[in-house]
Amino acid sequence: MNIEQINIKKSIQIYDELTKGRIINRHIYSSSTHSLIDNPLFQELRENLDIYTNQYQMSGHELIDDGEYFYLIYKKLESSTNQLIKTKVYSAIIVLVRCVTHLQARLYESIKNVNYGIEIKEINEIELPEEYLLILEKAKLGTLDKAVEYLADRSFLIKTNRDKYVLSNAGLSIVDEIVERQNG
Amino acid sequence: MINYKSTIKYIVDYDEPFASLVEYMDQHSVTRVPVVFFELQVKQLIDKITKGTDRQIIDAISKAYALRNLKQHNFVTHDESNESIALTKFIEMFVRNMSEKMRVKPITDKRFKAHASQLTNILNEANSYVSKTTNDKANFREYLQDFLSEVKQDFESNKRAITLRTDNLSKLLKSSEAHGDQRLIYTKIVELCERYVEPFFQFISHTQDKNGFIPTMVRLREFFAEQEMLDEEAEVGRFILNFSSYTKDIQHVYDRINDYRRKGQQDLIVFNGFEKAFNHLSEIVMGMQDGLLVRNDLHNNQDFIESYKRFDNIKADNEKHGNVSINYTDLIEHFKNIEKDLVFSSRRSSQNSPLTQEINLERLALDKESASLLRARNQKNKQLILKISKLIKLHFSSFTKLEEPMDIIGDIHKILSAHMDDYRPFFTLYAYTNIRKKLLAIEKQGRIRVCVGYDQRKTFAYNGISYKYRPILIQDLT
Repeated sequence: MNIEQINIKKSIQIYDELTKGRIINRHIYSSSTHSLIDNPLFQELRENLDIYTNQYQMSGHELIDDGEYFYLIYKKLESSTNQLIKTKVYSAIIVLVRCVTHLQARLYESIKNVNYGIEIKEINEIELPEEYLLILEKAKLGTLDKAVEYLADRSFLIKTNRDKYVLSNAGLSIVDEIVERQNG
Repeated sequence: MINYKSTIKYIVDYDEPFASLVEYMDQHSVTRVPVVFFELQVKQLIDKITKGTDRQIIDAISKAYALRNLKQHNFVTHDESNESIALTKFIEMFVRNMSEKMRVKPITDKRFKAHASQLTNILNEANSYVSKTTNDKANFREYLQDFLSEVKQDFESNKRAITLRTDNLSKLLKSSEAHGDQRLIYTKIVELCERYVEPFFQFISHTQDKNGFIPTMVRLREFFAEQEMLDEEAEVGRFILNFSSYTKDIQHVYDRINDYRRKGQQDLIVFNGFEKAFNHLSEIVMGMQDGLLVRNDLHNNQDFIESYKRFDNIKADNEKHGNVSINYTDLIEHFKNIEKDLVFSSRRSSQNSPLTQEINLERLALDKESASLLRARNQKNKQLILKISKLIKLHFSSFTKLEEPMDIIGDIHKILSAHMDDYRPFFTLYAYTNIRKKLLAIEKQGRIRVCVGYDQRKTFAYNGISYKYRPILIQDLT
């Protein structure tokens, strides 16, 4: 383990992102090329995983490596029954993807491909049925546009330069998990 | 009855009844159609062409489509037990080929597998060819020729059918802008691929295996060569040669449709998965509507939390307070300090806690006094409300036998001001708003009619002040 190989500038950025509860995804959006490119922070973490794992372990956290993304969890709350953020993230994704594929009758591709994406404006135009509103309320998400912003703030969604949102690596992995669970 | 040729001629010129039959079969996935349905189609055709068509032609069409005539020429089979008809293979293919919309249907894998197994049987039988009688040999040769012709026809028509359907669906997909339509087309693509293209492709791909279709055909060709049956040998040889082009063509179609299939299948899987996930979540949330005030949020619901594995205890944003990132140890310590300062050390200010404050005894006494005043006022208000309710109940419990419309607001004012020493005009408004619901309910029962005097104004005076109001008039309907 050689601490000198750490890029301090990136390390500070990584710390800033992770401690704000954000995900570090393998890909980020490049507005200049309007495409997904490799995330330098992800590469930094991947190349020096042992050092970063130690760093966060020492502050009572655990750095989780899920292959396509990294995030922090609280080590001390191992048996917590209160999972506010987890339930917010999962219910926001369930409501959002269902809204896109069912209410808007759009293809899954439209929330996955940077060339399409979903807009806050069109989300606000949807008259949500009662059951959607109830889920958003019980998950403490408020409205659907707030839920989208919440997911984007935590890097589960990526915002493109056309003011549209698509799923990030972490968002896609949640969709895969949900689909696998339901169809498994 | 009319002859075979004429019948065919009229079926070609006026194919609507048979085309509708084939459409019905495809839509309902059946092979038999009710006779009534067929007769209705014939009637509709005749009604349609009655004007401007020669009477003789109309009669000929009726005769051509008469059930007896069709049965006689072996175009349909009639099942009298359930009054249904089925088109014979020849006429079904004939009608499908005539109609652009419903071209020849692709063939299921069952048929190809049956061909392969039939070929193995033929080869086994060929081994005993020499010992057969002349008649048996002739029968065998005839059977073999029919078989080869059938297989060739099936392969050709299937190749055409799946290529055409793939083309049509991909064209439709490109031209449809609505996502709902695209999902429907994807569903069709997945079905076409899984039911017809892939099994055919798999079959074709395995034809070169040791005991596959082609090596068996090669053995059959060798058999014909040994028997010096040169025509048959050449026929099988041509079939084997053509077969390599099938493989290429089907590979091309398969690759094309498979791209769409992958995309469409993924979309359908996600769509179905999220339908289930959403319904599950919705059920959980509905189950939480039990009126309990505590632990009634999704983040406390173990059913939902345990449904998914990732992101347990995920870090919250430290900059936001009041979420799970709260440090309970610090919080408890903090409360202990406050407690100490307030209860045990009320006369001195704490140096340690930033939240401590010197207790102002005068302020406490004032607070106590205002609290007792508030209690007294609440008590008085309660008594007032009770008194108003009693008066309303006593004087306005029934609205029957009203000789003329009752001005309810004016009457409430009269009653309350007469019976209450501390009356204030506000009480009238309060009392009216409280009995308004009751009035509407009685009106619904049809016992009274409540009219709002939108264009009228009345006044009542109290303590020298006039209060203007819009009258609400009640009329007895009984």
